[in-house]
Amino acid sequence: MKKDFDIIVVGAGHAGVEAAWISAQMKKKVLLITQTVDQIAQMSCNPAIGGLAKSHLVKEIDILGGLMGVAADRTGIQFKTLNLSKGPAVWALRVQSDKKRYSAFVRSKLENHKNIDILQDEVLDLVIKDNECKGVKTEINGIVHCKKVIICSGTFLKAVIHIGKKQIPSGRLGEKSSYALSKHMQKHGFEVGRLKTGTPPRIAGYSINFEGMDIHGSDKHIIPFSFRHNKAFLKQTPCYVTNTTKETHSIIGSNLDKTALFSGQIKGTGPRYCPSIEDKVFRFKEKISHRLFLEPEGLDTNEFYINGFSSSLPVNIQKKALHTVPGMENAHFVRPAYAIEYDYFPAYQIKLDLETRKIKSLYFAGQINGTSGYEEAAAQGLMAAINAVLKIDGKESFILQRNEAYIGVLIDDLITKDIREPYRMFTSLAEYRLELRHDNADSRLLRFAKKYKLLKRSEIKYLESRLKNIDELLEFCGKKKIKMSDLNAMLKGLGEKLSGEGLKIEKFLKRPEVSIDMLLNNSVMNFPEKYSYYELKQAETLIKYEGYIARQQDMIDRFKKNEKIKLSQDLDYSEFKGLKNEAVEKLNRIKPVSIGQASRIAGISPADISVILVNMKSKGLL
Amino acid sequence: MIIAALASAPGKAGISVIRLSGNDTIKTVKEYLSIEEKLHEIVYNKLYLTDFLNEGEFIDQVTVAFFKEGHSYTGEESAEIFCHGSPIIVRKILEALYLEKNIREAKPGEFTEKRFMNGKMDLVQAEAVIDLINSESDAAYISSTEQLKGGLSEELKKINAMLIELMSILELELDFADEDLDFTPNDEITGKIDIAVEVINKFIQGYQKGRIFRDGIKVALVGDVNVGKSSLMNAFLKSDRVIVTDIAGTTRDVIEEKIEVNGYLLRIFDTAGIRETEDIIENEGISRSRRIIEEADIVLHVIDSTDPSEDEYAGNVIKVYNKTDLEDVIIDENSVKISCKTGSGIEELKHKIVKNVIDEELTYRPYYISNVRHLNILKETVSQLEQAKMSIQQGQNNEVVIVDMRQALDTLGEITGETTSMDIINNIFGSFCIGK
Repeated sequence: MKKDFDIIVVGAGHAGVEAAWISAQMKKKVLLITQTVDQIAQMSCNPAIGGLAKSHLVKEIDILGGLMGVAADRTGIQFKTLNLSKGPAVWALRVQSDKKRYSAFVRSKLENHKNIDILQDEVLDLVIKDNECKGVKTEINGIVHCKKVIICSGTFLKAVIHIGKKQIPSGRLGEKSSYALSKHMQKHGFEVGRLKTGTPPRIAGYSINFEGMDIHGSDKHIIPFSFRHNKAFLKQTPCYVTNTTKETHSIIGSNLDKTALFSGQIKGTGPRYCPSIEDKVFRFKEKISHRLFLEPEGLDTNEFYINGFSSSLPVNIQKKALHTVPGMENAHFVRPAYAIEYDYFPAYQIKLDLETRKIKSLYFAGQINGTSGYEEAAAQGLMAAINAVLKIDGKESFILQRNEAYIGVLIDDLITKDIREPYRMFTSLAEYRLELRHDNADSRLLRFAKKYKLLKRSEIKYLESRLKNIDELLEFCGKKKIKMSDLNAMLKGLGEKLSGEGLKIEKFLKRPEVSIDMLLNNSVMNFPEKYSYYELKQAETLIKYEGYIARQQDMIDRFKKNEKIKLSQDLDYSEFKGLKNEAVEKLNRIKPVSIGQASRIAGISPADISVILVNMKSKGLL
Repeated sequence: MIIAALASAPGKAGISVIRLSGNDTIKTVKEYLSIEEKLHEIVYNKLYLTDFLNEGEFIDQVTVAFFKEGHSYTGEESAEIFCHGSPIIVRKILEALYLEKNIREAKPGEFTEKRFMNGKMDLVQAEAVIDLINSESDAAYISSTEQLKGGLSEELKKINAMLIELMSILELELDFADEDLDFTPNDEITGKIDIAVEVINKFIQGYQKGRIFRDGIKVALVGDVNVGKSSLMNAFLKSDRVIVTDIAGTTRDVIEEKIEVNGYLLRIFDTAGIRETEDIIENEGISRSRRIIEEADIVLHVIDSTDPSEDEYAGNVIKVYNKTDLEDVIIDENSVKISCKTGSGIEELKHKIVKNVIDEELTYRPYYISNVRHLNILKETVSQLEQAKMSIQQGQNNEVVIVDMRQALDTLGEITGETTSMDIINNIFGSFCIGK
């Protein structure tokens, strides 16, 4: 290829498309290479974006100029807010998207961007000179040069699909696995590991008897992912719920030896949060039934995704077992469930900006770093690309902290905790959860979007005015009082009577059992009209959490203190007196950037940290 | 740098032990010895019988053991020299060693500090070593060795595990709300918090006894002037430690002495008799007496049987009727008859003191914590758990209850080491059927 590119993105899954998109938005010339152009932004597993903790990531991606939130909204056929009975810090949106339309939407966004070229080819090797990556070597187009390479290989490296004893070299059912790249990367000195994941069968809708099944429809009031949207764009379609039976379990239980996993054929580590149906039957024998969700794959297809029935059993046993589930007696398997094993590169080999330690100008994002999930992949693709662009421009890298974003937690966990199973985002992994809400991604991240020009000017202006309105509202609620008569009228239902001179809105909202909706529905309070419902709810959340957020702030301050004690990347911990060999090995491998990060490394004890500090002091580094 | 110091007690003894620790210890120490083996031939953990020489001059015949890095007390490369237990030999050996540029005198506690720093023991155990070295009674010895064995750390780990389980239950409902799981009702969660609090409180209450195991029982001798408080002190000690006269107000300062009874250390404080006086020195003594009385575990109210006082003291008090050789009195069960002059009743009194303060045999329980740092951390943990319980009862959601729980875990972590979010998630995966 003649043309030189700034950035080459290898792989067009959820990490790859975000990487290509944001690089192009940041005015870099991008080449996106995929083995199959028709599979751009393919949802390989479930037809949904978001969910608990993952929706936090999507919201953050949205504020940082990414595509995922917009694409999910535009192609969403069911919107559901989860955890509504709990507090807003753990609310989460899950959107069922039309798979085909999702892919088509993203593809057209990329195709129509003047800075992006798309190429169907396979990358076989990297062009490396003096430990720096200068381009890629492809199967058809030969060598292509560039300044930075971002690898987003998904599950395709040395991928093998397992269905019972059957093994098919394939990155997604029906798609070619990639052998050369992984082999060459090892040659370049990267440690490779093996992970496993799985997917349930897809069943023809006409063969399912939906009668008697629970129906889960969209929310009445849809709140989409992207701040740009306030409604759904497509026809809304429900999911269905059925349950496995005793017979299902007995069929699975008596065929455990036939699964690829239990027979030992699979060597890779699988995700514990997403077990196969046989795993569930085996490990939780006391549970007589497991719930299955039937999720539509799209509006134009009849295929249903059977959430909860992932398996590596032989297809005839899968069929036999699923046929014992109410409504599935005649289920026709369009595609079987399967397990898939693939290569990944344990993430201690990258830095917090996602560039590899070993080879400059080479970035890893997505499943190659050991994560699972579309959202986790997208977040990394976005961050890797922003950092690659910043590096080209000679600017400092963009690292999100654990108290700033789930994305920060995700990347820090990956590198620091030396995780050896597919990593998924959970809200419990974020220590400062009350700060990191899915509804305040803008207040946390807007300054970065502004700094790096990740959003349009008009969008930034809109978000800024929204934040300003919330500030004003907080002031309003701290001043304005609710009349006692109104208050008692509202609280009647709660069997309570107050006396006195009225109550400030702020005080009222602090009570756990009340909401701002009570004020609105009873027309007790006339908030100035310019404030949107979203802004009112935001103010409410801030008021409700105030005391706890303040306490969490203490913890954040302590956390920041340790993050501020920087550790140089040139330190050789074997020169540190008194450190255990195991600690030396870990510290030299992960090269933490701060005492804070060092303290989070698995196996580094508080005593080790004191030893590091003492050594730093004696070396005059503190 | 190699550190060196006498590791056994100073003074004359059968054998004295000098310990060295640091990089190149073996190579450096070998220079002083007549060992024939070359450096690479040295066998670890073996006793070598050899001469200790200073620039060729014979100092003593010693045995020496060498320890490999990671296998020594400090965790560093080390040596221990066993010499004859004469202060002069010890001095000569240490002087010879300190001449070496590489070697300096170890500071007090430095070997143990190194052991802690090298991850060979946790903070709780390191604190125990200090206590062990300072132990002055069987009880103190037992409590510090138990702590050293890791007994307390183990117990605290159990509490930590309880809190992790609680966190997991709360987190489960947040992170896996869409799973087909039975979530734990609130009253069951607060019940579990109560259990955790109860367990921690046992430790907090155990402090009283733990402290007595470690520091002994504080006994205050009080009473009017000239009732025989100082005579009683001397009777306890079986010596004429304290000046005794017939002049009222002889004892002007607080005098502390120690005796051991049933394995417990009794720290006896003879106080100035409390009375109105113009004497500045005596007044200062009296105010010190008042402080001692407040801090004492038990107060011995010494009464002159020939002229019994009507005064009453608050707190844990035994009335001790002295001079019963001169006049007999009728007493209740909180009183003892003694005669300092004849020695009658003194043994009975000693045992009554121990029985009164710590009503049991010399049996150590793991929850007898003795360290005030531990006490304060546990108290703080309890208050955060109570706060979590209150949040639940107020109807707060899990995500804010968890802020309280997280603080409790962080606080406890100051003794047990940090709990990471990953520990909680791992516990969830281990205990619940996750994954649709």
